Amino acid sequence: MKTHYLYQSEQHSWLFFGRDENKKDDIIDTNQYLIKTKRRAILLDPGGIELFSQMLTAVLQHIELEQLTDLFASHQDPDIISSLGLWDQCLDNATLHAPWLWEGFIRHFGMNSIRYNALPDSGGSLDLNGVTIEFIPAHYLHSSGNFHVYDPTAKILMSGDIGAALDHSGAPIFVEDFAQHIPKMQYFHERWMPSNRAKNDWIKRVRQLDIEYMAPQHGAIFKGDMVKRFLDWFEALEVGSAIES
Amino acid sequence: MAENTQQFIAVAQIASELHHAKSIAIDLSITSKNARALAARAGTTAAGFNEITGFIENLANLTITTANLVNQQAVKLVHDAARQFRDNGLLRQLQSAYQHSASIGQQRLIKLLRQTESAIADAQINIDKDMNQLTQRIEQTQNDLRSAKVVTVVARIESTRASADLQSSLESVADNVERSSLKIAHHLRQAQSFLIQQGDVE
Repeated sequence: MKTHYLYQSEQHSWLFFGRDENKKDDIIDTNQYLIKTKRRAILLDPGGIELFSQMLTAVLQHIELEQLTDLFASHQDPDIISSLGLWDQCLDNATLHAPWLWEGFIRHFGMNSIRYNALPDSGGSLDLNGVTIEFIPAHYLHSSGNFHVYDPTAKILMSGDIGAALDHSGAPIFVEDFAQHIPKMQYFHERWMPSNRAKNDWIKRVRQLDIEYMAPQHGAIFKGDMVKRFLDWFEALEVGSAIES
Repeated sequence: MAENTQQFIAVAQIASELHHAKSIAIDLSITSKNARALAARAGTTAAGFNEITGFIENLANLTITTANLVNQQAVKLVHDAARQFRDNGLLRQLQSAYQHSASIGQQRLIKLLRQTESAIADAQINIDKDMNQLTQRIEQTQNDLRSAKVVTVVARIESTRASADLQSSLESVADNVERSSLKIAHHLRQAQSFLIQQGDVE
């Protein structure tokens, strides 16, 4: 499992975990992110059961287990949060922030000790030991109840499945050549994203945010100018391709 | 298949057998009520039959009670075994994480590893205790069923003493008791064989 610091300051850091070399070939590669402050940390889209031991290993290199007080699930998919039952057995005092829409579904992964903070459709924010992060609505992108995480201080948008690319586990962490990256993400967005209306609404809102890194849950991270290039490309893309016009 | 998986499948199978036994016992309970009505009509000509109906009713009630208790216990056992199955999965993941961690990660994992091992051991003690109780309950019901054979024989003798118009009805009750008790015994044997298989796995 590769680890990379996306942002570091006195108050908090963003860590990327991904490109797991030991991952089975037939499961999709995923990116996980950890925001850590001095006393608390939140793990964003903790990943599937298959990834749990690698994630636990990676996380404990950076924080004490007791420091992991919060988890975030952008939506209900197994590659996002099927490890919940295992985290639940490890964490005594943690809260999962996830869409209200999926509470009854996500609980099927096993939740006895972790609390569920049901995020309303309008989103919300979390004060993590003095660092404020925002839960940005991204409904129908792709899930009908879906959120992203924005950190205005670090200028990072964790964008879930938006910007996702299907790439091999040895791929670079950042997008280096946008034109070459398009084939890795085009089908994903055309097929997984169901609504042009939802897409355009999201782009309009996201364009108003100050973003240095757009960090998706699969594939390479967009940095600097690549963020704008992605938004332009995505805006022009017709999604919902499974329905014949 | 993992030992633990076999454990909770075995418990579910035992509960299923007892559920079948319970359905038959409910029928048997109806039979005993019919038998009581027949005994009343037979009067003194089949006085012994009246005694027998009480026994049939007790047997039916005992089987129903046992099935209910076993079912409650089975639900708890399946729950405990499933929990232990998950704990075992967690333990494997923790062991893997420990193996791949540097010393700082290993130090942070030790407490969790010990807690999980201890939870698995405690769960096994509870599961073994519940399994023993389950075995005893099934054995007790089997013992009670053995006397059903005697009851059937006595019922047949009593039916011969009754008036001709009641004879066939009383014989039918005896047949019913015999058939039902054989079926219940069959399901209890099946349940016991799952328990034995489970014991062999352990």
